[in-house]
Order: sequence, then structure tokens, then C-alpha cells
Amino acid sequence: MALNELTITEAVGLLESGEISAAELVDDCLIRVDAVEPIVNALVTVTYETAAEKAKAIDSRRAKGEKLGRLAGIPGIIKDGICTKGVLSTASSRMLYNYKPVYNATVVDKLEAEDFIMIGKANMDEFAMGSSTETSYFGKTKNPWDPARVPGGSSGGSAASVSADETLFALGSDTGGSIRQPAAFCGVVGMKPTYGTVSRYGLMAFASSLDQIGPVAKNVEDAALIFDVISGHDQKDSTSASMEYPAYGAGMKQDIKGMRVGVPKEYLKQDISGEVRQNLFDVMKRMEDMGAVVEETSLPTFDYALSAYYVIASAEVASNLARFDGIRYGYRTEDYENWKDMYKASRSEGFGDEAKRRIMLGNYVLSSGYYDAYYLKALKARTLIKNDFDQLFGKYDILLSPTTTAEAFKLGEKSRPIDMYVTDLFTVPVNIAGLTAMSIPSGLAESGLPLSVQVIAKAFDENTMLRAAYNLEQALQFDAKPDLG
Amino acid sequence: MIGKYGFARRLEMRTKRVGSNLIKGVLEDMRVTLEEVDRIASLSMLKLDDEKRKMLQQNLSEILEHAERLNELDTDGVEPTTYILQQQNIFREDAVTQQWERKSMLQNAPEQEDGCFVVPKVVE
Repeated sequence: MALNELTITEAVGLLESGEISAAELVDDCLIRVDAVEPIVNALVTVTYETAAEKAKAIDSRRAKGEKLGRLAGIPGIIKDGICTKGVLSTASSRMLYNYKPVYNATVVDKLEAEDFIMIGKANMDEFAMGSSTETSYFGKTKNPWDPARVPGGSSGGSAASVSADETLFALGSDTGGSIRQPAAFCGVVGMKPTYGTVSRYGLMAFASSLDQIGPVAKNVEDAALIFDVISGHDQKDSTSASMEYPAYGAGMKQDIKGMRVGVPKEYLKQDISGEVRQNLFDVMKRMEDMGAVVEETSLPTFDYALSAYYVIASAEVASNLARFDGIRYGYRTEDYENWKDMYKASRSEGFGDEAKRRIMLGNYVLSSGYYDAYYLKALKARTLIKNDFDQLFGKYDILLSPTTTAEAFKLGEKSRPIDMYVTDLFTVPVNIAGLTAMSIPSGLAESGLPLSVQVIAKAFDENTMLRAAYNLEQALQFDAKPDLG
Repeated sequence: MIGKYGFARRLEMRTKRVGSNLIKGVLEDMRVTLEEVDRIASLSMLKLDDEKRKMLQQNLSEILEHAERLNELDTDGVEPTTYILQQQNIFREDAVTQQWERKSMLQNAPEQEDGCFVVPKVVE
């Protein structure tokens, strides 16, 4: 087996026993990157030299018997909206086409403290706004299962690179489903942690009250390990949750007998494919077979989450993208007469259409005359949606749903903005209500593309979610892989 | 149209109505006027050509119509949620804990001179 096909857990074992070296592992990943990138285009930057140097250094330290980090020698890919010191970080936008941060995001520091090896930066939808990675300035990423289809988004590069075995794991970010939906489309595991458990310092902000960085991995155990490494309170992020953090993944392999699982019927009432519906029923049955108590329940405000999300997220991103003006960093226009011209031209030339659309929408809903009708209304709707979920978590340990309404769609298929937005229908409520959720592959559609289910837990209850997801994963034994030749 | 059709289908039907109004040339039916598009573009510091203006008018109208579904919710007496966690007022001591080299702050500057960012004249 080529070493890039290993899981983190497997690789750590082989590295510790000396059966493989970090240099070999990184090498196999980079060989794979070179082989499949012409098809997949998952990466904006590949850090060949630094990765090889780091691998050599780790092998040498290990030979000397030095104590190494939990991820020593493990290759990983970082979404391009996450700042990596000295390495191009573009958020897949022309606006930051040449931007090299002078600092690391906290999550990168935490991974480096455990001796991981970054091998590249992942392609994404521009500034994390999108569900297909089609809005990237650096070209579209293709789904490794079928290059005529999207990998999902906005963390499409992160999901595709893990799915294509270019890397052992990746980091993505999730604001309305941007880790879970591409993970579902690419047949890998993707997790959105509870808001506040992973520092946003160094994550280029999209919606400050919704964004969270999270792992994309080949299995639940690997995702749990990465989450455990990157989570924790951070002084540099004032929205970081100040609390005692448990060891994440503890108790994950225990059974789920008696676990109360709720399936909101509103999910099933949507326009979902027959295969997705049947797949969900199969998963529900498997959970029952393992001793969980599964029942249908109701989330009355489900339908409103998407509307609330588009208003809130756009308002927040309009404010967050105001900093891009061509003055201190990034793209600056050549063609201007005065400062106002320069601002307008730099922004208009630097941002793509979707970014402009959301900035306009955000400023519209925040503008006087409309603020109450749209923005304030959406914030109140958010409270109602959160309350609905809180009620359900009084009765259930986890909620279960399909991650998406259907398998990955074709490139260019969702040309109307609203059609694209609807692909996040099932993932968005989780961000709005401040919960945690993860997507795990659960079957294949007739088309050969993966189907996935979403396990949702209440805020800060990742360990229950991980236990449910791990058990389900073991029962499903999903081992299909894309055929990239 | 509640109940019979799923959300995505209802959305499709609703936005088709807006779309077909465009085909009929009844642009006044759009939520957002072209004047508003221009006003918001100005606030957003964006420069839009005519094609983009019209596209954004249509996009924004469709999206806002969809957002108006929120009016079906009774939010009387409901507190808005601006921040999902319970903690508030995160402070720290007003002390310098991190020093940055001026050089690194200017590293990504499109134009710099004498340790400063170069900008077009702002004050007349």
C-alpha cells in the first residue's frame, strides 16, 4: 500500500515502530499530489521543500530518541483561508493573490507543536463563500469520484485532497456547512466543532459568529485526534470558549446502547432523492441494531434556518470584507485618480461575483430602513431556532439527518445563487443554533457517488457525537474509494 | 403552499414567479430598485458596470424574497441572538504582550516608503 493511503492512527503506529520514516510518508503524499492535481486541482500551494526538510528533521529527532508530538511526521493540508506564516494564504481570492501572512493561525501553531508536516494549502470558494469551490480565483476543484462534479464547498480542496489520498488529513472551516457538505460529497469524515472550541485567530473571517475551523479526515478516530489537538481556549480570540476542555475522543469506542437518537421529520419532508431517504432509513436501522433508541421527532423552525443564515452571514461578511481596500496588503488597482477610486477599483477588481453579491446583500440588510425588517428579524429567528434545538436535546442525545439532499452535483449545474444556497439546507441549522455536527460516509448512490449522514450533538457535547459516529462508522464499514487511475 | 411541496421545490416555484416577471419586463416587481443597488454599491465601495448592476438587482431581489419567509415567525418579545455563547465582556490587562517589527507589518504593502504605507491623498 502506498503510504499516502494510511490513516493517521495507522501511520503513527508505523512511524513509532520505525517501520516507515516521515520522509517516505511525505514523499508518497507528494508523489500522489503530482499525479492527481492535474485532475483534481485541490491545492493552491504545495510546500515541497519545507515538508521534506521537516520530515528529515523529525526522523533525525526520533532516531536520537527525542520525545516527539502526537502528530510527528503526519502530513496535513491547511485550507487557504487559514494564515500560515511565510506561506501564501489567499482565501482563493484575487484580493490576496500575493499575501504571505507574518504569523500563524493558532490552529497551525497547535498542529506544529505536535510536529505535523504541512504539505500544502487547500483551494476553496473565495473567502469561504460558496458550496462548490467553483468561485475560487485559482480554478475549480473537481470531485475525485467524478471530475465532472463538484467536491462541494467552501472547503472543497480540503475534502478532495483527503478523498484523493493526497494527504492524511486536512483542516477546513465551516460557517453554514463548509466542512460537512464537501466531506459528504467526497466520501470522507468532516466535523464542525462547537462555536468557540477552536480558535479563529488567523482564520480569515467570513461570519464571525458562525465560523469554526475543523478537521477533514479518513475516519472518525483521526478526526477526533485532530480536533483534540486544535481545540482549546485562546487568549488571542476573544470569542474562544473559556472553560475546562475534556480530552476529546475519550469513551469514543464504548457502545451506544440506550443512546437516544432523534430524526427531525422536517428533514425528510424536503426534496431529497429516494436514495438519500433510503440510506437514512438504513442508518437508523443500524443504530437500532446497536441498541440505540431511534425515533422521529420534530423541529418546527427548521425551514427558517436557511433564510436567517443568509441574512446574518451576509451582514457579518460585509463588515469583515471592508478591510480589503488595497492599502496594507493584497491586490491594489493600477488605475485610479483619488483614494475613493482606488478603494472601489481595488475591491471591484479583487473580489469575485459571489463575494460582491454577499457584500451587497449584507450592507442592504444592515442599512437604515431595512435593519429591523431583515437583520434584527433574522437574529430573533436565530433565538427561536436555538430554543427549538435546545428542547430536542432535552429528549435526545444526538440528532440524525442526511448531510445533503443528494449526492454531489455537476459543475455549472447550480448557476442561480439561490439554487446553490439550498445545497446547505441540512447543515446550516447547526451553525445557527451553535451546535456541533459531523458528516460520515454511509453508502453509495447509483451514480457511484458517496452518500453521507450527519450526526448532531448539543453544544460542547463532541464526545457523545464522536461515540455515535464511531460506532456507526464501524457498523457501516464504508471502504469505497474514488478511482483516480 | 405549505406542506405539499418540499422547501427546495417551493423556493423554485417562488423564484420562478420573480423570474417570469422579468421575462414579462415587469421590473418594478423586483424587491430592490436599481437606485438602491447603486446606493448599496456606493456604501460597499464597489464599482459596478451596467450588466452587474442588473444581475445584482435580480439576485438581491430573489434572495430577499426568500428571506422574507422569516415574517411567518412570531418574534414578539424574542431577544435577538448576536452571539451564541454565554460569556461576555472578555477583557485583558492593557499591557503590551506582543511586539511586531515594523518591517513585518509592511511586508505585504502594495506600496511603501520610509516605513509607511503610501496612499493617495485623502485630505483636500
